[in-house]
Amino acid sequence: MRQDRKYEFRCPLHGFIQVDTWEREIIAQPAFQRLRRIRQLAWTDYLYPGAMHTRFEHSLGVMHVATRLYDAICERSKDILQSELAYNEVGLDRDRRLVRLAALLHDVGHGPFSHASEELFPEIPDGSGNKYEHDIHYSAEVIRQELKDAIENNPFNQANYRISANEIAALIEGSAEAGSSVFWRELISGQMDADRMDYLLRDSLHAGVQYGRFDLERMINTIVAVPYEDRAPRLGVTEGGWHAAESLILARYFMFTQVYFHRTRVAYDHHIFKALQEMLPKGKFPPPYGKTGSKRNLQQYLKWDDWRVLGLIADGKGGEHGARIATRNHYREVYHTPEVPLVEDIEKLESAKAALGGLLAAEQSAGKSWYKTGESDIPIQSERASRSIVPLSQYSSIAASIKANRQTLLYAKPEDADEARQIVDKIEGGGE
Amino acid sequence: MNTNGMRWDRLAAITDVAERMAQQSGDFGRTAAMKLMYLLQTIKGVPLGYNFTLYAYGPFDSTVLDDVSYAASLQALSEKVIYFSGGYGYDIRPSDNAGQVKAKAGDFLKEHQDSFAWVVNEFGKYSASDLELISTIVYADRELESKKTQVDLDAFIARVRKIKPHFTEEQVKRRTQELQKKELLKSILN
Repeated sequence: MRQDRKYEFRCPLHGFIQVDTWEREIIAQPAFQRLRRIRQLAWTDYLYPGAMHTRFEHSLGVMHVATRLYDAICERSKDILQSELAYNEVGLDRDRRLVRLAALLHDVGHGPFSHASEELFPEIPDGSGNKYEHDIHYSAEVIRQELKDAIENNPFNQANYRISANEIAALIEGSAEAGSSVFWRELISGQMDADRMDYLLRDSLHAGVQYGRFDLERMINTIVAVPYEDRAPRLGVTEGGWHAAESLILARYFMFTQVYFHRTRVAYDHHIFKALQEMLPKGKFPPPYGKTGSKRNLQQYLKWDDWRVLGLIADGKGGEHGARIATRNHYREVYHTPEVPLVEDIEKLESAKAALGGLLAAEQSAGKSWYKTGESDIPIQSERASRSIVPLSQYSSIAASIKANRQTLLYAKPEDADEARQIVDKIEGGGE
Repeated sequence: MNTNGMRWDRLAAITDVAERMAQQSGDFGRTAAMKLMYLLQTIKGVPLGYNFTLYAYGPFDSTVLDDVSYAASLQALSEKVIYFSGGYGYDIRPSDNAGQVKAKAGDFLKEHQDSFAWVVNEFGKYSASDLELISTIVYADRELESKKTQVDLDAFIARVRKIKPHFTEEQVKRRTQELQKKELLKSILN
């Protein structure tokens, strides 16, 4: 079989996405094909019926966008990549492959219904209280265990690149083992990463909304590696691209408020969390690692996908919350704080919770959402001879005014919703 | 008092460190906030719950910047952009409601006050560039420790220089040995 033969996937967003024989083999592995059975936006289709797309097509899209961004940076910033990061042509060609594979595989560790199930990941046993994460823990381990053979024992890789599964995992998890390639991690997980650029556009397309649209072509046309005098270079855009960067920030804000943190969508995140808790042994997913290198935990984890959960819900194994999903009888929002609550708003929230007492069925906070809206300024490089660097917030008063969303939503059961709203209305009106 | 999505302890910690940095006239921008929170959590074990991972500019968790932004919205901090040759940074200072936000996590601050004083005394004087390097050294060290691996000094320096090739071998060696002298590293063979 010719190793340089090209294959194409037809993508509703990007047109044709090209892969070669090596990448096709990796995509054909069961651990990657599993992504066809994990929906990108969980139960969002209950609000936006078209949002039935999966992590499979998104992963192909991220690889495609990451490659275009990578090529654009290499073309426009080769001098910085050579002088600051010591790259030559061979190194850039090799890391292009590495970035493509990291982008392709960054989501292979997702649980069923994507982010909705992540609260059920076990705690990391290091005393931090933090939980394992789908990408830096589960995806990295899937790559090391399940995809190692397809990655490393391919003749094209062995003859040309010798890229290991460990290198790809290290770039995704942000390990020191990534070495100088860690510079490219911003394309996998950062303010201007290929993941975000793909999901905003793809989620908008499938949901049938315009909120997530921004000028991807202009972003690709203006992205650069920005030098900092005595610090590591980072990704930015040239001055001509600041409106495109602004539109990316706005797209993220609108998608968060209108889709990702929509009150009804968030209610279903709660119901699937509770239903899964009922289904899972000990109410949690297995950790990504096994004792003494055993693969058993990870293999058990990978058996969980949307199909299995849907089957269990259909069989009545999801308890009260599975039944609520099946009958579309979701909790109702009865109170919410402003998007950026002040101290007095938080105190009012606490009063509302106390007054609701047993009627309070669930509390969901934007601060705990995987989707972030906060600020991490984008460097803008002047096109004048000075090539001075200015943050986007200095160009765009709109971007400067978007703050981290810390909204909290309170829910009651449908049968209690009217009573609950009357109680909180009194608090809003200062009645009690 | 933390609630479901409200981490007063984090907001109070950043505000407290900003106050201490202002008292000793240290530069406190976003990089300093990020790296000092990293050192507090990693070396002193202050349970801030951040999830730092490595980038070319050192350990990073965007949640720290979200917390700085939110603390500024609460007027516990103020933040403005400052420019220097070849780039820009941020100047973060305590603001009118700093006391109100700190009071929300009074017990937490009291319990960890020695750690906050320590991080400012030990690392408050360093530039953003130095803090990027120091925190990267600590990150590389803790990662080796978690894998129960020890390496000699030269191998360790080579490892850090791969991540930060714009620093000279001598610069990395000097900062590594400073941290060794303070007994803050665990994976380098003597």
